Amino acid sequence: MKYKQLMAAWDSANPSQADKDRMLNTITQHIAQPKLRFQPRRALALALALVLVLGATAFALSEGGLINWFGKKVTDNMPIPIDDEEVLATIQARAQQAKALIEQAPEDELWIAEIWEKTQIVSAPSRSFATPEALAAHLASADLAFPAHLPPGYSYDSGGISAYLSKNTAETGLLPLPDQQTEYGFPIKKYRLTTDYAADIDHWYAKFIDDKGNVLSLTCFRDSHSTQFSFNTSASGEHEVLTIPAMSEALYIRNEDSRFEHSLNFRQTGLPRLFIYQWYSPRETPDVHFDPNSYDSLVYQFESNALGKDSLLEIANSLQ
Amino acid sequence: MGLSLPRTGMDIEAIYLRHVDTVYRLCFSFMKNQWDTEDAVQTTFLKLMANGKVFESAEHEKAWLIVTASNTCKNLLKSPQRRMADIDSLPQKTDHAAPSPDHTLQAILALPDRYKTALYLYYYEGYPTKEIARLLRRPDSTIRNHLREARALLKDLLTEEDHEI
Repeated sequence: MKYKQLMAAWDSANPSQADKDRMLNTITQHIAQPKLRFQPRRALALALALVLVLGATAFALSEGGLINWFGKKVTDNMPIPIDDEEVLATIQARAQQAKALIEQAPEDELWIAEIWEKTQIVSAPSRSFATPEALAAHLASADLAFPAHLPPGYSYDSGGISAYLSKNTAETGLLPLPDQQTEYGFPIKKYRLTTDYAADIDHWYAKFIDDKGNVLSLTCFRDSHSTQFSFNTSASGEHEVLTIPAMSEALYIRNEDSRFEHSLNFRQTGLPRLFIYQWYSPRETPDVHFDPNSYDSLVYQFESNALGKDSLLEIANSLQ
Repeated sequence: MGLSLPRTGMDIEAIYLRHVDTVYRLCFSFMKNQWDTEDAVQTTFLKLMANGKVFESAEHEKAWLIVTASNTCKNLLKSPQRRMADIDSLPQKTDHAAPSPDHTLQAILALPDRYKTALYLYYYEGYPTKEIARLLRRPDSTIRNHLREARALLKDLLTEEDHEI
């Protein structure tokens, strides 16, 4: 091939698969909707314990190929209220700016950036764990399960929890800190948590990587069984409704267009109802709000770019 | 003009997977290290998200990303903080009889930034000079001059085979 020396030089600069995954992860966290394919009525605390909260200002969702837990096609009935490109660009730019700022939030602080009317970006209090054993032990103390079986060859990369706002913390454990005025035209309100918030687990995640850079991502979050979920599928992919002991629904999706080709989603419902408060609320006043929500289910999403259905099922069946 | 809507995660993932290598290679030419390159790549795709542009074809999409990546890198390099850091990270001139990809890459990194996009588009992506001129909104003669000047700067490090290009 001509120019092979120049081409080889540029090729030597190519990113590794792990680098690509990391960049994509960062990019998708900017997307102004929950990163997961789910469309729950609330935002999720994700890997970096960042939640993007949208109120009346919702963003466009996928245009097609949506199915529910039972593999049935559903329509996307979410409105697309923003038709002003300039407004949308401003919100998205501010979301990026806010995200960069609140990434600096200590784990025991709650930061709320009110980037637009009824639109907030929140750093949920979190705690990370150095080993999967430590994470599993912490989850067990809150009666939450963690897989006993993990695939050989995969090493623990990161993991942790984000917290919900308990009544106790809401009433006695929030120490207001001075607001931060930003150069971008929005303030950040800050609170320090003085209670042991880490026991109030709203969401957990764990990431494992093998020596080829393949990723296994495990996430779980609390929700209500009444939440309307839909999952994106591609024309070239496939999905299958499965049965997992103790779970009310399970759906495997293979989607080659996704960052993770294999995705096993399952849900445990009928759990004792838990009343918790949101860290955020799509209201006009940028303050901590105490809107109680009741949760009676756990939603799991186990994903990988390399491990297929059977491997993910094996992990799911080892939850204990 | 097509309908402009914010992209979903799936949209972005698909576009990202199609073009991340191209965008990364180009950004690395400017930024010279992995971390700044990753910043530039991410910024480029975030601009795509915010833009909501509807592309006519995969080639149009790629061309938009190349131009945006190039502009993003130039903007990032304009910051005073970045310029201070660059003084310490300039590639050192070395004498090697048989240049390895590393040495050739160092030579590319050391080129003036104004040559890099055209060089990459011409030699790696195979764009003709007229198309590069259209993309970068420069006269065709300017592009050809940039390529000639870049070749002259690289000639000590390129083998005979690459001299013939």
